[in-house]
Amino acid sequence: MTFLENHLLSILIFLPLLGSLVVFLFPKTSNVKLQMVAFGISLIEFGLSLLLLRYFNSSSHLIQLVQKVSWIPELGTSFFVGIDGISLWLVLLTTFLTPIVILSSTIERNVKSYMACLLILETAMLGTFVSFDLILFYVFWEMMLIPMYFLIGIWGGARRIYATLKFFIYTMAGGVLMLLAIIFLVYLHYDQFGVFSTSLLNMYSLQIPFETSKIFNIQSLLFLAFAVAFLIKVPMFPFHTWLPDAHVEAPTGGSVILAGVLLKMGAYGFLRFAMPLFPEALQFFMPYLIALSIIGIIYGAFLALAQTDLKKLVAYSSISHMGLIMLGLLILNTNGVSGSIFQMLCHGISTGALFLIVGIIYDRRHTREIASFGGLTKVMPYFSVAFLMVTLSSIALPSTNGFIGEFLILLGTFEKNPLWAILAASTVILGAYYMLWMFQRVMFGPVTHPENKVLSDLSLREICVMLPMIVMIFWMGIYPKPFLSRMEKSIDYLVSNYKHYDLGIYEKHQ
Amino acid sequence: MSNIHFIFYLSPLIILIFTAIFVLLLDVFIQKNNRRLIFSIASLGVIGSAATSLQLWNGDALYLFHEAIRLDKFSLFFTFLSLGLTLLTALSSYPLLQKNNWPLGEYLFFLLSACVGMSLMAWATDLITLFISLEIMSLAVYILTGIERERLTSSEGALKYFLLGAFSTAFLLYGITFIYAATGSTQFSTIAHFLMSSKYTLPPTIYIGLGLLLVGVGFKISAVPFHMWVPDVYEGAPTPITALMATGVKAAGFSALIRLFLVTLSSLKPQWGVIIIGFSILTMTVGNIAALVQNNIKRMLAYSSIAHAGYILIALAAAQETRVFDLATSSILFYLIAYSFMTIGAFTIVSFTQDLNGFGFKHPYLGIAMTIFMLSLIGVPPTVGFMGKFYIFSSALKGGFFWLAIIGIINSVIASYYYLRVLVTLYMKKETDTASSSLSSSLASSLVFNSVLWITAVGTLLVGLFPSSVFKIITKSITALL
Repeated sequence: MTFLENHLLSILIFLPLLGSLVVFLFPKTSNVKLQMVAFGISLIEFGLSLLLLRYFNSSSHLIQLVQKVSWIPELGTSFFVGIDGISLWLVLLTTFLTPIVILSSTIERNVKSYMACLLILETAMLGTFVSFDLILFYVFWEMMLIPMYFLIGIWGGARRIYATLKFFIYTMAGGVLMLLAIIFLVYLHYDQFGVFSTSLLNMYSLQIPFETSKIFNIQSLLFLAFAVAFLIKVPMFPFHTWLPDAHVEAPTGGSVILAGVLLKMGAYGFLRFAMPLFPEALQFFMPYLIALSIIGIIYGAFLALAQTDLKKLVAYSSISHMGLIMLGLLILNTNGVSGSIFQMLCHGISTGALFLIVGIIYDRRHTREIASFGGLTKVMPYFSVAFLMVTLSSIALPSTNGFIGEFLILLGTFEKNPLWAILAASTVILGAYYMLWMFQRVMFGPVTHPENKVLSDLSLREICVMLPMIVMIFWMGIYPKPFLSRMEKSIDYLVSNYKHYDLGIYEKHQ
Repeated sequence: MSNIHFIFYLSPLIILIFTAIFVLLLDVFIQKNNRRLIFSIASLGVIGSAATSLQLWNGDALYLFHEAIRLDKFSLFFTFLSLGLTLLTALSSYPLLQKNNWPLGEYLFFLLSACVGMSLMAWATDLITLFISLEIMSLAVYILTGIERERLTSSEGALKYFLLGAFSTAFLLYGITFIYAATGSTQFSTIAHFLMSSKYTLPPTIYIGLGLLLVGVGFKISAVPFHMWVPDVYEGAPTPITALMATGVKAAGFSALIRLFLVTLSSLKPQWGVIIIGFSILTMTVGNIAALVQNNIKRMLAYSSIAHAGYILIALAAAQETRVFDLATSSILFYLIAYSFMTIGAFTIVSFTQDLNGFGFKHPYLGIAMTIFMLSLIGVPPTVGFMGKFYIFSSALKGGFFWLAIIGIINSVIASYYYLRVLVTLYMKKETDTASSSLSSSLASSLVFNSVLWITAVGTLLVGLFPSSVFKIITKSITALL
């Protein structure tokens, strides 16, 4: 094993943090140069993260590339990172989106701080996905709030302060509940095993008391504390109200990261923590949670239909899509869960791309009202091609990535309960309705506003931003096997063993 | 034991006292423009005192002067804390001392005297010593509050603090007499022994005494409902002194609470336990809700300091369960350190300017420092505030005080709102053009001023990331208690 292989995850986590310091201490220079420095750092990061694919052994469900360093011995806390089939692609999604977001930035003031924030955010996101220690996870989970808070608050729109406070406090409220649950688990572990440990793997072997007769027993309360923290982040109906505000006010890059990665964190946390730690409570609450996700799917779609603001429409469509992802997870069969994780990647890419699209026309027109556009196909042909592809991906047309994910989730749901599948499938119809209708109003028809006649088409930079997204959309849609095969083992293991979940550390034999 | 030994054991305090007197006299006899010399001597005194305390750290615990005071790791821990806070306060007030015409000798004299009082409170194992040390500390701080004689709010604050403080000390003294009447002693160990071994029902006077003691100490730690003085006094006092009041005076109050209630009066837990729980809930909730509506940052920090006392009271309440005594007491000590770092830092920034609009981009490094302090006050990892809250809520959960922990959590979410508002003004508001910019820039380049911020900001992050070594020290101090 080489040094790089042993330390790859920690390098990935701390490289952006170091990069943010470099950017922050960089001598005064032009904005474009700063942007390029940050872009370079994030590109190196992406290149390094591709090594994960090389070192990752897809025939094992165990945690790989583990690094464990003692951190707070009094609590048994260690810097414990690793990766498995569930987190592998989410890590890559993060490293893939960050350079794109940095490149797409059209921010003009305080570029230095903006770039530093994005890089710190990347550290926090990667740390969240690879932590296998409860305290470490919580540290990264909360750390992520800080750069996002500034991204929305400093570079956001008119109501940015309201939006960012709401975002912070919602997530914080969920987070502290989770903190209480974590502390409780640590002491439960101490009572049962006589040693302090905050390692997630040790928590899996805990016996957490559950009583079927009482709604509120220890396990169900712990489950709820974790679940609420994650469901706020997802966000699932009825915890979704922070999302439209945050999205609408965030700068384009912030929205892309928020929709692309941050929302996935909720679903990921649910899958990694809430489900295997508290299987009985999960069984108990499952029907309610499934009902909430189905409500979220339909409600989000109807809200999206009613929007007149492009960004709001995409934001509400996110709620609908995330409902579908949660449904897939809660179904707990192979198709459902793998569809869900696949859909997380698709949603990250297609919704991220949609926000970029909205950002591109917002930069030109400084409005996002659907009514102030129309007939853009004639003025911006390249743009309309990109927009169309992304739209199709979002409504899950076959041969785009969205189709694979949605299909697998619906298939999994149908195996479990056809009625749920029928209700959830409404997302296909409603999704096509609001997306195509929006596309039609923005792109087709006569050019009604004279300002729109002079709009310039995509610049080279914007093409560079959109192209990787579109490539991924079709690659994942036409040949999803490399993606699915690497998560397969972990998902199979989770689905069949979630009641006695127990992850080990993968030892490489040479 | 010969007298020379007493001098050795008391050396940290003796050095402080002599430095204080020396500085006071030096200011009279020396030329006015030699402020740096006086200041350096005072700082050296504090450092020397810390060095001698370090010498004493590895020694055994022992009582001195017929159990009037006790030298152990617990008292040394608080001595270190007071010394550190005094030094930071002195450093952060140095630029202000140069600029304003405060009487330097007196200022440093009272600062060092307050430090003696704060340290001695943790040493006290006799009600009389406790009372005297509390008075030494309080009188010095009353005067420091009013040291800016020309400013009306400063004098107003000093007068309010003095009147209410005198009142509360009277309560304390009255409580002491009741305890003495009931137990026949003022020595902590004798009182504890009496309560433990008494075969008869305890006389009601002891409960009256207990209540009066709680009022007296509750005033010093600004527990609700004895907090009314806090906002006015904190706002009126010179900002470095406000920081000292929020950290040092409070820490001294908690050291007395631990020694007096958790150790000495531990057999009366059923009586004071409930009261402390009530205090804790009231203190955090009132502090936080009042802080929400403040527009002046100093007042906001004043109410927030009330709220933080409430969090510490959670641990004090949890400590009544014998099995979590160690954890809960350690978490109090840890939180005091955590709170000291972030509060001294925040107040130092406030002493710089109270108009924080657009401050973050104007002074990037100071802005980052303030951001770290605010995030730490909210309790966001990886800052020391998070670790402090973590330990406090741990002790509450482990002791079985679930509701208290949940109320604490709700409070820290409420609190995040007003700390975030500071960050909003720091980074998301337009700069206001004020004439005070010349003062600001001279301060921003002041080495002493920056060193305080560096120490506190790095401390906030470092202790938050690696709390182990601090926790080891604390564990040792706690074991010395019993």
